[in-house]
Amino acid sequence: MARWLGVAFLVLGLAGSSAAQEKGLVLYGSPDRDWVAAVAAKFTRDTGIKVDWIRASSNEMYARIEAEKANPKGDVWFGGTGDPHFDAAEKGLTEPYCSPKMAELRDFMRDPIGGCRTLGLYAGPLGWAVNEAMLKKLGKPMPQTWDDLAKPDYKGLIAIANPNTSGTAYTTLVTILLMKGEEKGWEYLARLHKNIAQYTKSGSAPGQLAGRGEVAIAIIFLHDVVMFAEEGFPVKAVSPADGTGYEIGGLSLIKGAPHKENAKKFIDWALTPETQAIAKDYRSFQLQSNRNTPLPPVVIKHGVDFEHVKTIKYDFLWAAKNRERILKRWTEQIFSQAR
Amino acid sequence: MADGFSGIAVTLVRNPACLLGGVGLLAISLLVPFLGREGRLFRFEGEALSLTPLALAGRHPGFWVLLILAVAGVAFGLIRQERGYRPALWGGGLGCLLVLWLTWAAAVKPYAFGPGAMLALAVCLLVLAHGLSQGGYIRADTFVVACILALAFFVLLFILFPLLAVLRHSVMDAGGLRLGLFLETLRRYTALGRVLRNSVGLAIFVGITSTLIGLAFALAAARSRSRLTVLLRAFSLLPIITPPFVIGMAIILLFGLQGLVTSRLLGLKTRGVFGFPGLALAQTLSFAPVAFLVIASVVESVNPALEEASLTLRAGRWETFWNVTLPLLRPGLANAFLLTIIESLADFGNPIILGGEFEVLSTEIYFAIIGRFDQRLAATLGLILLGFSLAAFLLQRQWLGERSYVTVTGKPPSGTPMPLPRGLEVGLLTFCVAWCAFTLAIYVSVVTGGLVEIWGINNAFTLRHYHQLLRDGMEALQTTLILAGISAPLTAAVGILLAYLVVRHQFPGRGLLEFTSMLSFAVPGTVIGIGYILAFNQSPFLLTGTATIIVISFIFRNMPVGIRSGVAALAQIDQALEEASITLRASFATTIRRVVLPLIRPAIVSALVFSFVRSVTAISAVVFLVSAKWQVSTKVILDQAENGRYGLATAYSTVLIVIMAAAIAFMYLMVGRRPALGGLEGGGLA
Repeated sequence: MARWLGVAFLVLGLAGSSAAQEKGLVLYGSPDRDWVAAVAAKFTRDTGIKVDWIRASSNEMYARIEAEKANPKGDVWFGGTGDPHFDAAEKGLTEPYCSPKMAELRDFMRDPIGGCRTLGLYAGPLGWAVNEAMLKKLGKPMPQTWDDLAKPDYKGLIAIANPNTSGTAYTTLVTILLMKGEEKGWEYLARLHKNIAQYTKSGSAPGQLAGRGEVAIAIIFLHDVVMFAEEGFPVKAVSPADGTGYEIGGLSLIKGAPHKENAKKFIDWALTPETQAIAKDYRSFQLQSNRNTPLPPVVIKHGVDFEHVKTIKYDFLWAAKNRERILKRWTEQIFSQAR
Repeated sequence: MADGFSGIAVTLVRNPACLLGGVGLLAISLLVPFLGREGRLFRFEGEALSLTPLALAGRHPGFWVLLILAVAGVAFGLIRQERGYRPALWGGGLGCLLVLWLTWAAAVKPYAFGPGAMLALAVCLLVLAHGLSQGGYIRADTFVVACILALAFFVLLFILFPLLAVLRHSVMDAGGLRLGLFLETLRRYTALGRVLRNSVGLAIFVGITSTLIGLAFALAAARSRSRLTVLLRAFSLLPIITPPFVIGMAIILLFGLQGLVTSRLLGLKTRGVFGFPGLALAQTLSFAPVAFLVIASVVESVNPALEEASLTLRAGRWETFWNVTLPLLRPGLANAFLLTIIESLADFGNPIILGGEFEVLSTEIYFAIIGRFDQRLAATLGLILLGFSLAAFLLQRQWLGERSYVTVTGKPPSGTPMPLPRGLEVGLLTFCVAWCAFTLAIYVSVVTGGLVEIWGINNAFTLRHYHQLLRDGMEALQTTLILAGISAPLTAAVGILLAYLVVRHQFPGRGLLEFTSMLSFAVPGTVIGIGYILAFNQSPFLLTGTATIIVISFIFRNMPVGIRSGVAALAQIDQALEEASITLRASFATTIRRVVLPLIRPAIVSALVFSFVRSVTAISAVVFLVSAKWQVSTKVILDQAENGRYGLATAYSTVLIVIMAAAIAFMYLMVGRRPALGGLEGGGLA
């Protein structure tokens, strides 16, 4: 009996050593891990508020926030593709917060779905990471438009993430459907599917594959191409000549946040140029939302800034509202087909 | 019920169990806070006394019942009774239900269960156990019965309860409970047939290859006289001390389109490694060691006397091997096969890296939750996966049948085990060394990956990944080691104890207990993770965000390993040994310590090692349970690998591998060397 009680007390002791409820902030971050870590450290330095943080991809974070909704643990959801942010706002997992800093934000990122339900943190256009050496060796031309990509020429040479796990790939689906209209869009996606060598879990992983020569072309966000190029992978950033979609990284206040005041303070702070300027030091080359945050020169060097990339009018609310339907149709009618 | 005043006259204690229980409950009722505030179980900041059952009784009259029960317990403790076990039985049983009900009713936001609730439940369980034991309902002493009850409670709470939370989603929607929903969900899911074929085919294939390789290694390691056997043991452990997606990564580096072997050496341009071939290879690499550990502990406890008898009867070595040794290994083989099938079905790390378009159930469940946010589909597929595990489990029972595999009887075993037939030994050793060389290649590529700028693109030597690791990764590493270190002995203890109870004791619900304990192993980690969040993120059992929930998930996910190796080892030990010890008036504790534990030491070692290592390398369930305060290494590795920093990821993996190897060596030293071959006659049996 004594032994058994011993075990019981050990478990009790463990439970007691927990508890994270005192003053502080719990940050849920979805962009690059190092960036999230740096932001957390800087916030503590600037304000003295202790930050506990965790990083998970935006879809995983959505699942976490939904699962925790009865008893929210996180305060702020920082970054990650917008679609899950918007979806979360639609489902009432996050709540509106009109930051006083909103006036300083670029127009298209100020209030992407209205009602301050998610603020834009950064934006980045979709494009391709191309392994030029490999294309040359195979004697294939450089693709220029989305239609080029679906040509039989590139069969087995393209990688993209699975939209079921990746916001990047979902943005691609929506881009195509918006550009070509539903009917032609699905037709195109079926043709593109025939060319895909591999579907990855993570959105940026195809860039990795292109860099290693496993595939020649990866469909990823252009700022991620810059990241891979700067890391030393032989990839070139190419933006489709016929236009492309883009993501807006979200910044949301989680509903029922245990440290709501600190969370608001953090959101205001995260939208300042001083905070946003550190992103580039952690290989995050998105366009930051504050108008006064300088654009890192390397982005212009690779030609992936919004001035040089032709973007389409992307409808975030439509993308969030139709997410379930689009994913279901893609998985059942396209993904399941032989290639 | 009691014979009134004559009892009071005598001041002797009549029923110590009731008295102790009553006094304990009374003390708890008056002094210990029954509830705690959410998130701070042990810091009450002055409101402690307002949360004791006595104070709460004003709001919840149920607590008066608890107090009355405590007083009644004391009273019965002092009164002479005809059947002393009855008050304990009824009081304990009522007490347990009452405490659970009170926890449910009173621990509502912002309060959760507190220390008082836990202690009160423990006291009631003990009293009930005493009653059951004394009344002869379960033929064992109070300690054993208390263990059974407590384990049953934990299994219910930490395995069944979270699963029910998930499964509820598969049959309930806004309209309430609808069983047809299950079929409806499946009808909408068109890929079902293909996914099932893939999962089951892969699992059976990997089950066979892993079991065969595990058997080869176990025989070679335990029976060969070659000095290579030490090497075999060391190598066979390598793949388990590796986060699974690292093996996947290495396989791509070696066999991918630009792979070192496929492209540079063989000049092949193939992407064939994605899908079934790569997956089968990676899973065999990952799970053959599991099979090895299970089979090895059985090979080691085969009594040489049987083989010797066969040899004496003029059977050849081959004949003896086929007709005596191998059949004796059947429990081990069956367990290994079952374990690897279940592991393969639930495996997540390999398919996510290598699966390509080869869909399997575990990743489909993950995609359903993570991608489509469709918890109902995930739950439904989870049910199907459980069905397969159930089938594997039942099959294994059928196969083992009722035959006795007892070989350790206590009668002095003689001699050394039979050496393997010469041809077999050479064949096995050759195969094992080749497999080791292959494994080595995998690991060389992992270690190298952490030391070069970018593997295959810029092979310049660099230490920058390690520098970054020292700067950013140490905190998570420390957390991981602490949590795994706490959970390993608990897992081994709980697992082996459960195995012992299941094998040695008859009690109602025995099979159910064993099966339920195995469930958590079969459920994909992702589903368990979501289940834990759904079940333990609200009162009364509020645990999310704590280290406790991570430790608990480790314990209950890895416990089956302890159970399996314990069951396999115990099935070979004749109960007469323990009976003899009991007959000689040794207490239960002494019997366990001096007779049972020494005999199953190999099983304990493997359970300890394996649960530690599995905790350190766990990813799928823990991904959901890590919190901002408690992060683990595998999550950091996954994050970095996701962003293409394989250098950092492999550097981190290398560090983990080294630490785990050291930990394993340390554990072997602590638990003691495994008994020398044929050395079972020593010690406890003398």
